[in-house]
Amino acid sequence: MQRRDFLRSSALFSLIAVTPALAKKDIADHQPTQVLEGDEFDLHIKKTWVHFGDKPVIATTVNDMLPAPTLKWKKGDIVTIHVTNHLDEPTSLHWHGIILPYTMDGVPGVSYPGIMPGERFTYRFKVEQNGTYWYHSHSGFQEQTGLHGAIVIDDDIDADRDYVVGFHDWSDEDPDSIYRKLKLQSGYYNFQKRTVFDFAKEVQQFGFAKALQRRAMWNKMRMDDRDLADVTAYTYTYCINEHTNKNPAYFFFKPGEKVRLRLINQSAMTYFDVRIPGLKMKVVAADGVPVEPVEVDDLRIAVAESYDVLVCPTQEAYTIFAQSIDRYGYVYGILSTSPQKRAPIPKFYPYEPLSMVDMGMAMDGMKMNRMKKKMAHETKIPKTPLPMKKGIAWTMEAKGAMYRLDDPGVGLRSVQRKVLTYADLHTPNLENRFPDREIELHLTGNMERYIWAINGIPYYESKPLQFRYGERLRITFINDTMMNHPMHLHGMWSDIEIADGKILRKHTVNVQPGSKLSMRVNVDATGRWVFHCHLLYHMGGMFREVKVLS
Amino acid sequence: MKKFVVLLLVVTFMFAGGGDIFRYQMLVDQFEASSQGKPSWDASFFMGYDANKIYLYSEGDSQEQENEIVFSHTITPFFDLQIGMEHDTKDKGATFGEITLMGLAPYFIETRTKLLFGEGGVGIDFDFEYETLFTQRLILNSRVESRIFSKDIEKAGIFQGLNDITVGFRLRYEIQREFAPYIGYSITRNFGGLKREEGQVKDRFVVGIRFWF
Repeated sequence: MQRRDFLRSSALFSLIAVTPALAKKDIADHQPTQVLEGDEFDLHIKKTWVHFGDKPVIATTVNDMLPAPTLKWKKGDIVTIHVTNHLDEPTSLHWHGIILPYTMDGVPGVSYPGIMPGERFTYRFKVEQNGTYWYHSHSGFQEQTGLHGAIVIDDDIDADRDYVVGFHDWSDEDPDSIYRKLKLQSGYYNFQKRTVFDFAKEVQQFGFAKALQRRAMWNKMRMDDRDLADVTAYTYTYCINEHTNKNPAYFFFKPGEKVRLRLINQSAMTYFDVRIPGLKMKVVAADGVPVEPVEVDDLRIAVAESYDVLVCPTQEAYTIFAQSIDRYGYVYGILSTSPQKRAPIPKFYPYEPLSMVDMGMAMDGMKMNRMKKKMAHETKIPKTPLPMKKGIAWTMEAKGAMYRLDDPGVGLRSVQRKVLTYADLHTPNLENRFPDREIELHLTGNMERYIWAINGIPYYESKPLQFRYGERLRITFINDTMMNHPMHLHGMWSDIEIADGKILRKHTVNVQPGSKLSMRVNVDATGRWVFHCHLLYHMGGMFREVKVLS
Repeated sequence: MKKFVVLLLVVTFMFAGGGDIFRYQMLVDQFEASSQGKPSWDASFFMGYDANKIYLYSEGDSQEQENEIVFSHTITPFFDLQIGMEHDTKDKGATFGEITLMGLAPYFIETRTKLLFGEGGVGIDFDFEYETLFTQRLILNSRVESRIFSKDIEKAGIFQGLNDITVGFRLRYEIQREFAPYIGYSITRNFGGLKREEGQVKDRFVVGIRFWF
């Protein structure tokens, strides 16, 4: 071989070398998600090639699966889960919504140091509950790169078929890069911003003066009414289980069968509006806990929430359609009798910008949750003041924030079908003790600078929240931002106050923009826990450690 | 000293865990050529955290430039206070101290208002920008700049009173957020003071690119 040829071939070789297949042989390929059953599990956290977006990319997986294997447990069992970290960075697994001792909760820096590279950590705890849950990494942005899976614990909800429908948002982009871009330009991923033509339309509709006036308030406050999602389908590929729209997920049934769909939102950032045209969904459980069944046409599933729905399909095929809250992307699955049968993909619901209601500024026009009004005046609950800081992480105050449990939320308000709201849900047979005291948490942020906080204080400047063991605590959220925040308290249940003294037991509580929401918590678990917004890129600031004092 | 700096960095990084990440950005807002005159630029670079950053600014062409280095501290949700120095290179050049308010004013008007002091005088520099979206990628940037100074500083081409007003319009197309070619029109009017430029109106069509990384 001549020198010249050698150079050429080595150049060619170096070109090949950067292509995935040859570069790193030790990285395995993506495997379909399996169900693992029993009381002992061996989970290996690794790097794996996956291909959800435009190109093969390395993901963080459990046993080479993305989503991670579905774990099937039995109530009453003591489960043992060995987790081995094959990454070159620390990792962790958190059992979302599972009631367990805090040392098994899996939050690095709080429950334990995390699982170091090459190390094995064994989780062992008793399963005390039934239903649909999920698990995910609590380390850095690993959840975005694939570290999430479903947990199914047997219960007595009767169905002929039982499927996990896990929604998630995949990006080929490095999550660090996504976060940096949001910090540099918070509207980076928003391609539905207001244009002059939108204004022209409003001028046509309302006249110039009125149109100008409508804009004035938003513009004065430097707020964008079209800021519905921080990260959008511009970078995200939405998935159901391990399927994208290119290769949609199938869920098979025989006509007349009762099918249970365990809808879990395992996304990092995406709220989905889910419907199955032609089918009513009967919601039988929320966040794993049975509810008084309610039939709906549409439901919004916040990040980290789960809903179990029963459907009775009679035709040959249906589409499970999940559109992102900002109507920029969607994912669909096929509920069908055979691989040949498909139903048409429905249209997006029309784009709806945020309104004054979402700013917490509309004093009228919205139905108020009647009972709430009464409850507020009823009996005084002693309020424990918390530190607050009206600094750079607090741009807006929702002065007229109201309880809006019966508000379907932006984008679903004009839907002429039954949309699920928290007001429709109620967990039966639960004791609802009157709270001993109350704390107020303002969900705050600065969208311009992409800073998130609670009470104006980001996590790294905060002190732990102090709960007292045995108390019934009332937590009232006031959302002073224009985004939904799914708030998740570890280790204890969150009982949302619904009308007429009823409660809705959940592990993740969605607080709508500019609204107020109260929940009660039985502080029945000692130790160190955390409380945070489940949107991955909000978590850095909207995060608190919780210390339960005995 | 070196140890102290390292310690400071380590501590900053520890506290910055969570949401506040170290970041930097090079933004070349204007890099353009016109029918008359030399290629010119308007660029900035920053590095830092939510509340504290260091900025470098540079604006000008091969003959004259305004270069700044400032420490920027966030004082309100939408505004930063910046303290630093500006060096103008026209003729012999001049150096000023500066205190600047930078941020987003109501109605989404981006502004940098500089108070300059040095060479025996004080001055104010205004810069207002507004962006109009025609589509999600076709964006019109309108900009007004002006300088007022308390006395003549001939070696830096500055004179007493209102120096000039520049109004510019640049229509860019964001192929990506990070990369956008544009065309534009800019008009400058010089007022009083230095005789050679008195009352002169300069206008130019420009073509350029805006990019950042």
